[in-house]
Amino acid sequence: MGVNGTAPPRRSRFPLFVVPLLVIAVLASMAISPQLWGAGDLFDCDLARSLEGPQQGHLFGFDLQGCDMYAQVLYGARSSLSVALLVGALTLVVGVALGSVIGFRGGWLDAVVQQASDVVLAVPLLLAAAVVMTFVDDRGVWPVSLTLVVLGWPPMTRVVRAEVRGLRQQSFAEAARALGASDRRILRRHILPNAMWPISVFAAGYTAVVVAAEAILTFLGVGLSLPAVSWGLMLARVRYRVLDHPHLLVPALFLSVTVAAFVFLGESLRNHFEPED
Amino acid sequence: MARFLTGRILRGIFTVFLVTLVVHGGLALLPGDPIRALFGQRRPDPLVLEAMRDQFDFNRPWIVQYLSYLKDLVTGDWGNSFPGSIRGIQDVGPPVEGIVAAAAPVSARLIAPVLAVQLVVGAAIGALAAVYRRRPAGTLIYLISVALLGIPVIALAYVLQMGFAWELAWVPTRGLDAWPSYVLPVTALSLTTTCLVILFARSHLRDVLRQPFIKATVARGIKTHRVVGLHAMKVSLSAFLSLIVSNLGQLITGLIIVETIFGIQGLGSVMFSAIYARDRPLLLALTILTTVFVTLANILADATHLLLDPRTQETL
Repeated sequence: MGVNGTAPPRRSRFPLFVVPLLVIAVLASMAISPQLWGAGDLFDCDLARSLEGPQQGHLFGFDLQGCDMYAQVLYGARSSLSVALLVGALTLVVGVALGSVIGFRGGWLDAVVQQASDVVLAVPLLLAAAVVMTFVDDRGVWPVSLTLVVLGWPPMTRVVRAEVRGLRQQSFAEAARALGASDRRILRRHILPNAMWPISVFAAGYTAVVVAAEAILTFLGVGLSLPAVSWGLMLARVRYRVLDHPHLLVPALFLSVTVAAFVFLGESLRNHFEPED
Repeated sequence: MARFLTGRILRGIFTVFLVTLVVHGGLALLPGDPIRALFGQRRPDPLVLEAMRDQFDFNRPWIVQYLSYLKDLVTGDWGNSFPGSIRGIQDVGPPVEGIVAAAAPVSARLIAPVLAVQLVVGAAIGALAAVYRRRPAGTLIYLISVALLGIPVIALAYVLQMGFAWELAWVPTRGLDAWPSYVLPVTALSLTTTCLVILFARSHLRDVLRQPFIKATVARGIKTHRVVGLHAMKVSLSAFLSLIVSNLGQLITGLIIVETIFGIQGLGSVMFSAIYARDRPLLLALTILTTVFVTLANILADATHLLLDPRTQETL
């Protein structure tokens, strides 16, 4: 019996989150080995073929420099997913560590961290990142990722903090404390495992935001710099040519599919673990 | 309520002050000489460099620079932007406050309809999804909203521009003059947050519709659309506003992309060229301005919450 005498909602037999996970796996295989998907040489460019449309052997046509778009799009998956996974993982680590400590302990540390996150949240993430990155010359995957982590930790930290604070007051945590468990043990064995699902729902959604963020930063000329291959960079270069050459928008399609995969992952995780009806 | 608002405003001022400190100080800490960077590959005369450093106040100790910047900022003198092309020592860019004053109205004309669409369309469709949640229509709205959430503004802006310029030449794809030219940029800017409001409204209204005061209105024989649109909405509206305000940062970065792609000469375009030209005085002022705007909007959202939902007053 459920809480109000109603039957508890039943979890679906087939977990829907397998679908977005499969899409992400396909994208990851492109990122790990573009050759597997038949990507040609990235730098085999021919100006004579500039902006030519899709054709036999060149599925997505050519860009302005006459380089094969198919190879570029596949290599772009590598940049996009490395930044996404790096930022996602690091933010998760920082958020869980910081959020669980301040959520569990409270006190002055909590007040300081909250004030600091107020300051960081007051400046839009991408604007702050753009300002910082204008003064970084060597913009590879690591500098871009670290900037996004340093400027983007507060939302995750707040989610973890709220979860931990909520769970700390529940009876099972008090029971553990009554039995003499240490704070550390209560946090690790009783609280964090219960907070895991809401946190992973948020992490999936946040990763979607990061994928878009990397593309937008690169589009603005302050994300990954050449020789990196990135969907944002490809989209920035085609600004005035899209109208006549629609095949130049293929990176936008891949970008949307990647973002959407993470959005659906978050939504399906939420629906699986907190069924509504 | 007055006491609560005073507290919020004071905290807002403190946060904005901390942001100016962190941004100004952070930029000073970054390696590299911003004036030298202006010249790129060229080798400027050391005397010219020195004079320009003086002109843009990079020579005094940081704390003096910061305090004088703060004083000027408050008195409305936001300094000069960097020159676009460097010819002589006296060559500075136009004053930052002039650039902002010229571009801000354009962006305001864009932001106002975007916020209206996010709130009205989001709440209306979200309400439909909440009422019809067990029917195909509700599920359809849910699925479409989640799917649209996956389209980043950068892809959306291009796709809209191309789709409408290419096949359906109904509305202009560049500039911002008569109302048809608003259609594409407003759609591109509002879509993501509108979908978020729809999803949020769907689950929030479901909870509100279960509360006793709603059951009471239903029992009195008031029609469903009136119960949802008036009684439930009055409680939910402030929550929607908070959601929209918390996504303002996303709207502002969206503004950079959309104004650039659609060729609109607003603050977004100014930000784009400031980033592109590494124009430090302009970037600094725009960042602080954005922070003030976002903080102000947060305070307004809290005030609306107090006005619309009297229950929150008791908890103060």
